[in-house]
Amino acid sequence: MNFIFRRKRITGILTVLPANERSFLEEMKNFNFPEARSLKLKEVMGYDKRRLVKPGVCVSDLAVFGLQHLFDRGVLNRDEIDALLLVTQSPDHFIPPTSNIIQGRLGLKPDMLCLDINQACAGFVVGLIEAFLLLEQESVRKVVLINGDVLSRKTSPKDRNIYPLMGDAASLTVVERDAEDSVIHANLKMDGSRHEALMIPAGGFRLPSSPETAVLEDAGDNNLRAKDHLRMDGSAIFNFVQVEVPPLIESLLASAGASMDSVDYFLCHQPNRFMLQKLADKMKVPYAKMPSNVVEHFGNGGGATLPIAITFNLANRLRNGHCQVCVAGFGGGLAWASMLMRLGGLSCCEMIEFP
Amino acid sequence: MKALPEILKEIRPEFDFTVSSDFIADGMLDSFDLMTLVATLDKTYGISIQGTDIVPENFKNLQTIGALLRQCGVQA
Amino acid sequence: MAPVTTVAQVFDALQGAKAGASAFCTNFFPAHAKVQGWIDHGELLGELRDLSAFFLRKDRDFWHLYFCAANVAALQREVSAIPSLRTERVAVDLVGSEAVLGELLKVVESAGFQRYARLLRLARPNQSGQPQPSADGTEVLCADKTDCQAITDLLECAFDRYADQLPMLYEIEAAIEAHQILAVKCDRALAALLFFESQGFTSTIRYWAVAERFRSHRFGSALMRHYLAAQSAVRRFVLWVTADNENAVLKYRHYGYAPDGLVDHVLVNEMIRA
Repeated sequence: MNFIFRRKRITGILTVLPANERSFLEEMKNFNFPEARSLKLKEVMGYDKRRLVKPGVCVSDLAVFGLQHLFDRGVLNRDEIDALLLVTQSPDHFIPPTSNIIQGRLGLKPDMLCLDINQACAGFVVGLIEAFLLLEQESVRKVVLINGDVLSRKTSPKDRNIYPLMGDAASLTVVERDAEDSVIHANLKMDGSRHEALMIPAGGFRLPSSPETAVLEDAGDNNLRAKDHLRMDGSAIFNFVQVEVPPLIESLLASAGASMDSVDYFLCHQPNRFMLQKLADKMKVPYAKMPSNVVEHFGNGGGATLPIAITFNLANRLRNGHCQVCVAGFGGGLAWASMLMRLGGLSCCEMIEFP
Repeated sequence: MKALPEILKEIRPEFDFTVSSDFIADGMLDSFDLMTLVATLDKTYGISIQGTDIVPENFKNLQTIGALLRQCGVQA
Repeated sequence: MAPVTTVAQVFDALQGAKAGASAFCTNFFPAHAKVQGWIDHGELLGELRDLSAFFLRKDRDFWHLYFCAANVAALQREVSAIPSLRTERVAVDLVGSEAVLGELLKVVESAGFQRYARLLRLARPNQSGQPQPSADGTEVLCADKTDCQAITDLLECAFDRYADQLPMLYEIEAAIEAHQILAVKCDRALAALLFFESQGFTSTIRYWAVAERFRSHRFGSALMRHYLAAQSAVRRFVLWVTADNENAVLKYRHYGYAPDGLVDHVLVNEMIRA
């Protein structure tokens, strides 16, 4: 599915990382694997440190902290937010929407749209598509897109496949109309038939949480996880990314009449270093143009990792200049989406820590 | 240059890879072992195995891995 | 030594020396992007030896030596057996606290190196109440591509090539593109610069220099104030300064920097000393 947006732009990106940091080397002792095997994996995947929220901290806490920072810095005025989109898979509650909770905590105006979007690692691009669609309306001049998750609380410490890579984070992206005659191309695909590749089986209405769903089970691969925990079919997800993402980006560039060389950076969701380097090899993109360094510093924080890759690597460059970027998100659903745009001249492009 | 069984043994020292015909079904290699194996094969043979070739079928046994290496230009 | 062709070779060598090591020692803390740049420009050689690995990085007309070893005994044994350390011009940095560097210094000295310089690392936590940009009208700009040669000239004049690891032209070009070189110009010449690297929560000043004929114009101060005021999200500022450059140390202290305990001993071999 293709999209074209005219006269829209990102004017600010803020990422919020919990101050609490854990290291793979400390946590290795919990896994049912020999140390040597875990160390090899650490090197291949790029695991090192990750950021986790303290017990009790929720997505709305990270979001409110980030928005308050933007208000205090004069980047944003609370009354000018016409839409608040929150992309999360770890809401504060099932009901009410967490975006409404954020609205209430900050005393934002009633004349606005608050919308929760349940999307995983394609969520930054999906959220941007939604934001740009909203800006077509006269009444919507400024949208704040928040990508946030605290999924570390839903992973089993005895699951080496997923525990060491999960991180918690939030990002806030300010999106508005562009006075210049700019064009943004985007595309996306979804495949619900493969939804089981990344899921939390229990806790919803299909299988409500119970004492039984909290019991750790050996899935047959020496990892222990409960039905209440996030689980991932590593092979399936890896293969899906390698097969689906390069043609998606190729198709995007073709629609835009753009060459690979014209793109300064390919900013992708950050699952792990190995996957991104294989993607770069397949697309014949030099590693310097496709940063893969977020997981080793912060862990995989879901939809927020893509904006973290931006604020971690390109903050200075995007505050002072512009780049032609292709952003690509891919993951649970399954969903995969990409977008080509000129990014820069940002009034804010930074990382802050949530204490 | 290390032989393939030796490389496999370094990743999972507890198994004998010369006696199995399906490393995946026999639980000798999981998806993360596959990535470690590919990274090691890339480095050992100076190749870059395509991401789309990192599927269980290509790593079932010594023969299938050998075929994949030959496909990548390795004189195995 | 042979050319290094992939970043993985470097990290595998480090991992190999570390695995099961009783007292791993290294002076190599590589960042992927930097190593890739060295490889892309054919600047990195490497050699695996018993329980150790050695790398030489080309810098103008000499080399920087990097090593990693399972223990000091392995380092001592293997470093003496590398011919290029006697036939090429080589400098080596030993980074750590003074307390732990003693043994390493002896080993490197016994391999034919002599102490050349000592640098201190200074750190400054980001405080509320950042210095404000100067009000005296000094215009601070981001350097552009036309400034490359002037930047190279100023750096080579103001810094020591062996101790301060001056950037290659491609690094300067990349830093300009990333808006990480601030400049003050006067009479259409580059009067002063501040070259930094920021990533995430940490920012490092690599070079801060004022051309001699433009000193006492307070250009250096304008650059520093601008830099500190602009890095509002940074939690930690760091830099390295030559220990006996008291003037520079005082200036940095004025802006809240203080030694954090890390030192860098730079040693050079006979070929450089000759």
